[in-house]
Amino acid sequence: MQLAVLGLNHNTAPVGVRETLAVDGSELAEIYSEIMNNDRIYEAMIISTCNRVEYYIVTDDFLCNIESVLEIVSEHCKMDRSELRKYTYIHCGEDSVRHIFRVASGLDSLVMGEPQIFGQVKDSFENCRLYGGAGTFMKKLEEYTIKTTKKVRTYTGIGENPVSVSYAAVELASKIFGSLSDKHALIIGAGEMCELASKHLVTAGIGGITVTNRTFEKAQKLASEVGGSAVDFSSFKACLADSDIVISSTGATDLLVTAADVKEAMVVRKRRPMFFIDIAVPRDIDPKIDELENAYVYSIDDLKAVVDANRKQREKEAVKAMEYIEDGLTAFYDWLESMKIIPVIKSLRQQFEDKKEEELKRFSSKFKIEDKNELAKIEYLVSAYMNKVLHTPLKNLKNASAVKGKYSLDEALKILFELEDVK
Amino acid sequence: MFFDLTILCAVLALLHVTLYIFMGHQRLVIITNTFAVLGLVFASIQFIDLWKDRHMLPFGSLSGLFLFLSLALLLVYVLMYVKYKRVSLGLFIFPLTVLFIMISRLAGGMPEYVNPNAASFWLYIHLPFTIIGTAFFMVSTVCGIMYFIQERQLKNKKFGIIFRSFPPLDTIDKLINTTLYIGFYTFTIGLLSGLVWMMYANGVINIYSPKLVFAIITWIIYSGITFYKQLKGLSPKHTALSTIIGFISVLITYVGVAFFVMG
Repeated sequence: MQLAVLGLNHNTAPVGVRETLAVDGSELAEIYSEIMNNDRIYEAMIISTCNRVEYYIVTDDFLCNIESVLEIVSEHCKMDRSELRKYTYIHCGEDSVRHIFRVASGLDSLVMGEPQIFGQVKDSFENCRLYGGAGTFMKKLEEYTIKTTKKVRTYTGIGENPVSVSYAAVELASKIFGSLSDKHALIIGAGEMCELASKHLVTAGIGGITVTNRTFEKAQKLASEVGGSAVDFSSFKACLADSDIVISSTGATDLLVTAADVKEAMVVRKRRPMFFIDIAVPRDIDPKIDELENAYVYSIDDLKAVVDANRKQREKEAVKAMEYIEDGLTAFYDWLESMKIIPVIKSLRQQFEDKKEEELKRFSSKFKIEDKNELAKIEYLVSAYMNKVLHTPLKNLKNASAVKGKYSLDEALKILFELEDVK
Repeated sequence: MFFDLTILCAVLALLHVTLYIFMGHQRLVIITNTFAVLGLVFASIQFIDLWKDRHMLPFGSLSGLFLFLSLALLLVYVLMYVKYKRVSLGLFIFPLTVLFIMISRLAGGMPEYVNPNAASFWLYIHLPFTIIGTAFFMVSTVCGIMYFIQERQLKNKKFGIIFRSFPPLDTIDKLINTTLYIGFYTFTIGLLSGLVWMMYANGVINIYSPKLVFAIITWIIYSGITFYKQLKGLSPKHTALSTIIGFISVLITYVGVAFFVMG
């Protein structure tokens, strides 16, 4: 049995195709049932996010069965098979397991290292159990995927160093202030950038937000969305002294905050650090403020430099992450290898049971034992002896099954029964 | 043997924290802290060994004093890590620990300079509290230096290794405040108990004693910093600067003490 995956993502398919192929929650039951109708597909799982749609199957003939999945998908999204084939990729065996580890760790995401995909993969495994696609293989795959992803996220910096301008701004603020829970932010403007930055600030646990905008209603709207307060544009400078973080993104052509304003505010706030992020072009915040003590000004260019440096850092971390993924892959295949021994163990046990029954019958007829209690006692004794004899070799067989090695028969016996040399 | 083990642990902790700064593996933090705790344990065992050996607390020699200072530095590192989870402090603290423990080892054969007859309860309050206070002052100075380095990174928009591995400015400021206040209170207890000890040992407080003069100057500087901070408020940058100035006076006190006492 092996794992195979048929999928498409942001690298292989345009957004239109991804939209067409996206699987809605209400369609899951039907698609799972269609896939599982194939006798040669033993287990299946579907991952569907805004940037990828992937069908994982456990099968013994991936070439034929992946084609049948392709057939189901093409019928479902009413797209020609050959057309669909152009946008998809197929992995099988180790490559498919490595692929799901990479996907869950965020290494295959549009924004490398983004954490949301891990939750989406976990949800997909849950759906897989819910719609009958999960068996031993998928359950174990889920366990190893979670374990590997957690290692990647804990021991590498793949999720650190933000790669969006608004998030980088909030991260920089965190670098100055550490915890933001007792800090106050002033947002000048109510456009998309300000909205994003405000939401990131709320996620980072900012203590309070004040929003100001030329159109007061827009300020009020954004303030209510982020749980802050709105202030009139004509009087926002009065809030500077209470603001540890100032983010500005307006269409103003003149400077909105000058060095003189900040100097005045600094006296009131006893020179506690102030962090200014100017995402506007032309600039809203006087760059001379940066020359003041305890004031730090970052323009959009500075933030882009941060984002570029962070992207490079994440790429470096991805190399480290791959080491953990390869470790996870080895561990998963060790487990898979150990599973091959299960039928052998079952057959050996069955053989011992059959022989036991046969000998018990022969014994009872030869010695004419008819008392059922007497027979039960003898059977108990034989079973106990058999279990004792089998325990050591079966335990060793399970443990050694993942180790690839060739043994001679006498070596194998020594290992299985833990035999010692007799002098 | 425990001297060597402490040095080994401090060197290994320094090595791993340096690797962490460059490589960023979280495992290195665990290894660094394990070596720091082991170093603390070995230094404590060595201290107890010296105590048993001399049948009195081993503060009567340079070896004992520097051993206790190394122990106190490692203790302050561990305490500050538990509270603030910032391993990069070790980059400055571990070299100091290695230096002091080596001085302690080299000074092992030097004679005692405290007359056992003058040793009293008050001396054993005075010396540990003064040394622990000094260790806290050292760490606050280290944090002050870190503040200036990190502040430069932010002003110059350099987002390299230092920027990523040093704590946020606000956290460094909190570290400075915590170590400064604890250091000040312990140093004050050390100074007051030293005065009481001096009175018991000599029958009088010799206010012209260079040791006492320097110690009082140090105390005045640190009390000035802490009271000014409490009453008027001091910006983080000025606080960082004041820890460095304060520590210069600590250095003068100790050099003065060593010079006059040993001389």
